Amino acid sequence: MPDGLLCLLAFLIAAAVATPQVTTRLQPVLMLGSILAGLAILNILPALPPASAADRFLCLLPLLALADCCRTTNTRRSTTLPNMLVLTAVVPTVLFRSVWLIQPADQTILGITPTGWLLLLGLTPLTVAIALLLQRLATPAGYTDVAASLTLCLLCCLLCTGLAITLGGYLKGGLLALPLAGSLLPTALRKALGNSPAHSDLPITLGWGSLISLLLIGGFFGRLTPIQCACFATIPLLTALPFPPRFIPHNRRRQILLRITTTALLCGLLLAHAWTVFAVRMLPLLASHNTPP
Amino acid sequence: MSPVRLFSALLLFTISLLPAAATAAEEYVYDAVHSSVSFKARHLDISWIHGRFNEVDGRFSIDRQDPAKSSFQLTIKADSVDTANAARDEHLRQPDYFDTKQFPTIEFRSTKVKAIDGGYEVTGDFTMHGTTRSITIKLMGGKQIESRGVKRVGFATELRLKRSDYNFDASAIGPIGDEAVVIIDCEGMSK
Repeated sequence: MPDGLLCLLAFLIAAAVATPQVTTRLQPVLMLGSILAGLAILNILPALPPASAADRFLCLLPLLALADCCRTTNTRRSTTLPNMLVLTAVVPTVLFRSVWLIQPADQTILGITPTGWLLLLGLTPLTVAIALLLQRLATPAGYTDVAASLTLCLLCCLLCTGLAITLGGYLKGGLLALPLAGSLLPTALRKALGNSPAHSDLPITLGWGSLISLLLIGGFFGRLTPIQCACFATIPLLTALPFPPRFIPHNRRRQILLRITTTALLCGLLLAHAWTVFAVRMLPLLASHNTPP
Repeated sequence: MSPVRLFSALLLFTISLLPAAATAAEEYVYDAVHSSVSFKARHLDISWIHGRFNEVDGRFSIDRQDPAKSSFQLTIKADSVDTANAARDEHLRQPDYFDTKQFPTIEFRSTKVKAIDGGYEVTGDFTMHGTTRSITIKLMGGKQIESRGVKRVGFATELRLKRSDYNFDASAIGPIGDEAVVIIDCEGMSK
């Protein structure tokens, strides 16, 4: 089992390295550095050549960060393209050469099975479409509380997805979430607690790209169910859930708190379900090792 | 006899020998009913956990006149791992261990075969968890019998592998020993 203190340390180190306020161009680079620092604490390094889905995702991380650099420094029109291109690569990269794409080997079109093509052609546009929606949510003029809550919501989803993957029995896959979430913490807190109305520097590509990669890893290689994956992928969009007028507080910070609480509750429910399954399937296995004679 | 006729006669003689040479090698397929591929690994360095793979396929070609021409192939479906505990099996299928969705099979392909006293010394490529290493095993047995019109041959071997040699996640090695003993008892049926 993973060492709890080491996990906490990896999360905090990632958060600490990502804390200094730098220009929007350097922010994703700093976050990438913080993720690598956290992974080093956990002794998780990508194997070269990458063998597993987790290794391939780690190799894609610099590109996700680089795309966010482009988005935050160039004009809006020219910067969307690199983001979309990198996000288009997420699904094929994570599923590369797995049984999902290549088996049965005797029924392939260009080396990929019809089911594999369906997966690629179904999940890739979905990944990009949700990223576009999140980017729109991050830059609305009238809903500053939505944009301010979004990074914290992504962080919450990343942490809970990681925990759910770990509870499903894939320890390394779940541990990946800690430095990813840690790297988002400073930005999330700055956005949620600060009064800055500027939202263009939210690391959506890195945050969403990491979350969808983790969900693919947990869903296709771990024990996350398709429903769990769909729920975790949808929760960031629910940040923009319209509340009935009488429930909307006038104070901006309370609005943010309301949105984050909603997100946390939904994540908590999913996590509770993951724990229930863990308690039934895995806990007896662990308990039998620890039961004294 | 002219050189052309001599060459033609030799060629015809060689061709006439070819079917005999081809039948010199006996072809067998793995008999899943009477074979097993099992393994054991140390738990906390005090006891052994036993398991087996339920889905295995293989082919052997045995040339008793020229053993170097023999070949052995074995393909194990990693998903069929069975340690008599469903939760542990699920865990073993995940990327911390066999990563069966990425590496669905464990394979052995012989590259060199040598006859030894009581069997064969087989060198070959063993692929597990996406890593291929050359290993040498001693296949003991090889006695052929005919039962109900089917020719059968049996072999047994035991090999010791280090999981760290096959790129298994080092952090998952902890309580389960790095070394695993694989025990193969297989019977081949002639086609």
